[in-house]
Amino acid sequence: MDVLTAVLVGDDARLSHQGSVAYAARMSIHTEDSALMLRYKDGDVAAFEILYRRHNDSLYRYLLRLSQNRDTAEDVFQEVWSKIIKSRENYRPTAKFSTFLFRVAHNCFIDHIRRNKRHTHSTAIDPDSRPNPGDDPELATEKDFARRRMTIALRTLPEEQRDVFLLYEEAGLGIDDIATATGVNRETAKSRLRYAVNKLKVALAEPANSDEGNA
Amino acid sequence: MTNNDDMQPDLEHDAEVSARYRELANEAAPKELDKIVLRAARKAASKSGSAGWGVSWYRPVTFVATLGLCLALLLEIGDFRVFGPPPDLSMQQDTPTDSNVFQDAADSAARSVREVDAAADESLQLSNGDSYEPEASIATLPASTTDDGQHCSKEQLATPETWWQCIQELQEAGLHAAAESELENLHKAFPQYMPAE
Repeated sequence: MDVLTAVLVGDDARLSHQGSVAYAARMSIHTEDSALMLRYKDGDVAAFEILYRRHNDSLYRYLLRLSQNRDTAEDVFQEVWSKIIKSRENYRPTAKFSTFLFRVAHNCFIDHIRRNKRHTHSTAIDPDSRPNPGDDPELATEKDFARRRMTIALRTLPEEQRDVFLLYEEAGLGIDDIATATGVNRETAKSRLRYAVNKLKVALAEPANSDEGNA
Repeated sequence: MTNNDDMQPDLEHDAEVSARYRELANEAAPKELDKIVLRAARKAASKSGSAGWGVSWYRPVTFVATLGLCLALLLEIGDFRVFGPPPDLSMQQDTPTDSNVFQDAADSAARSVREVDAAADESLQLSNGDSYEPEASIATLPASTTDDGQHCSKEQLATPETWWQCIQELQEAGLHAAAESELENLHKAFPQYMPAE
């Protein structure tokens, strides 16, 4: 019985019966992630490349939006993958690979902040405001405003809440996995996510003028 | 395991937040970083590949070697138990071991048979009227074990010279243990006696 089957016949089978195809697909991907990591452990570099391509962009965005600093994001990004590579010998697929990856990322980011006390948000990233070629100019402007508001809203979140929100959105982790990745209990993770979402909702609901004023 | 039910009410409300978040630019990891990471991964795999080969042969070889040693040890112990230690022939002549005792017993039995034959011959000679020479007969009798554990006859034990002669006869007959025993008795009975070479 493979892991996916085991999951489907377990407590979470109800999710599958409810038509949560996405959930099953996500589990399938995670199963493959672990298998890929195990293959890399056995020396299969191609397996690592597949694994890397699957997670590199989401990890990069997580670090970029968490740190609000491109250099920091790039440094920590390299450090994270370096640790993943080094840990392959001891890798055991006890948890989802993404949980493992983002836990390492979270810890690396915390360590990076501790090492570099000068870490500030002063060199904050700007949202990519390039319009899509097919977009109406008016629509493009609206989207640009929306991006800016979201970026600013994210920036105003406390770091812990931003971390949890990004793990939820970018890594696709559930509450338990977020708790595992951030090293807090389930209730704390859940509470942080609720706070983050509520603050973002409020920030996004504010009139556009106030955004411009804040920006 | 994630309990997504807890988040279900939030997910409905968060759909807008999630959608707005998705509208953010989907930054991708820089290509330079990709190259660096993948190069590091390849390098690590090639290193561990050679190290892995080392580990892959090391463990089975160690296991087989250990097994071989254990088997050899077991066979060695088994040999000793089945066949026992090899006999040390050099010790047989010098020390009174179990085998020597058996040898002496066999010799004594042979001597007894010869004595009985000799006695029968004597009685035959007496009945035929031949002259009887007891002294010569006793003197020529091979040494035998008497009731008190002595190998020489009473006549031979009478003087140290005849006793010594008996001991020499025993030595010549290969009855070393008996000869030694008699020699000990001789020394006890005649401590001053020094046999002539």
